[in-house]
Amino acid sequence: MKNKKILIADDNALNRQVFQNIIGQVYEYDLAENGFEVIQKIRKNHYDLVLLDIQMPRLDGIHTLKNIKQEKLTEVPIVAVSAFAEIQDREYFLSAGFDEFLSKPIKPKQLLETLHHLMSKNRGEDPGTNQKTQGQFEVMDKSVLIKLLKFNTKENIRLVYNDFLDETEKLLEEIEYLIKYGNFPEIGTKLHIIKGNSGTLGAMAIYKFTQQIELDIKSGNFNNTLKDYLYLKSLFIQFKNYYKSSEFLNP
Amino acid sequence: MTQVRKVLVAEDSSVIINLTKNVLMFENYQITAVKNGKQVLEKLGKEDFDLILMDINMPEMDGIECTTAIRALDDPKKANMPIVAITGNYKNYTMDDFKKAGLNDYVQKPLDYDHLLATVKKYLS
Repeated sequence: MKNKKILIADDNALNRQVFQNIIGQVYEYDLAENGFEVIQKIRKNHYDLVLLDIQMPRLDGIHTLKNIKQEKLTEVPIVAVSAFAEIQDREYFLSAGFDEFLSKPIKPKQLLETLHHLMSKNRGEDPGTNQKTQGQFEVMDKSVLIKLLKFNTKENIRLVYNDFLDETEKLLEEIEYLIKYGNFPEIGTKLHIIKGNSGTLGAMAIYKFTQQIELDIKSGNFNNTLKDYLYLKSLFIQFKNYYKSSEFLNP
Repeated sequence: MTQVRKVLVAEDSSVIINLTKNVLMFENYQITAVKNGKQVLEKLGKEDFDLILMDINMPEMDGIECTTAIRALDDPKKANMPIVAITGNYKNYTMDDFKKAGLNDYVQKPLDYDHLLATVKKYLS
């Protein structure tokens, strides 16, 4: 997911920060402060999606879009963001040529779902509902293993994966304990370690799922925490079984 | 021959420590690992290092607090040494916060070890 890059255009530093905080969790990003900068950046770099604030000095969102379309600078989705608009105005923005419209204040979940939806649509994939879908990601991304082999002996790699299994098992126990005693905010730091390690080691299903639960925990939504924990545990068991039956990792 | 370069790795997960050690040893760097910011300061009090790889999200003292403390040290050599952040950005720090704390650079988790190695080399060559 991190290989997707989003250009965030907003003239207000605080708003940029808000976008950065949310989007930076999942995607790479670049920033622009006005329409001119957007056009310059699109000319030079590739982005997978552009978030365009409507009210910007120098060159506003509407004119920036017109410019992009006229000069055919990019075909990627462009999303309008505006504070002075109602839901009814969505039609106006879509007819102006935007792919989607979001009203401020930004709701993190809606923002991420919109981005995910537009970018997977763009790749011709099933857009789905971006719920915490099961089986969407592979248990193990083998290309990560190949990368690790560049710097590590097989023996080293095995030791690291064994460490990962032990450490994750311990962290899951700690999370269970925290859930039992209702200490939900603390779960975040444990999840964060699992997230970093699983991503680094190519345990993609675990990585993607912890990424999503982490967002809930951070925004103080604990409604699904127990359910999510149980699912995460099943993903871990799945990975462990994969590991044990892998000829490479466990000959 | 060039002298051996010493890298201090501060990271609370043994998985990342082990992988990072293997990668850095590839370039013959000498690696010392600690688990939190407090231990970084203790180590620095006793030994010299050429670079610190600093996880941001650590118990006891996080990477930002620790970097701020290092930049305030009396010994100019230590206070100015290169510090590279390793981050999954749990606390929503921005590049600006990193710069303000005095971090030279950062690599994001999940770690791409080619990128990690290239970043470390940039400051040690």
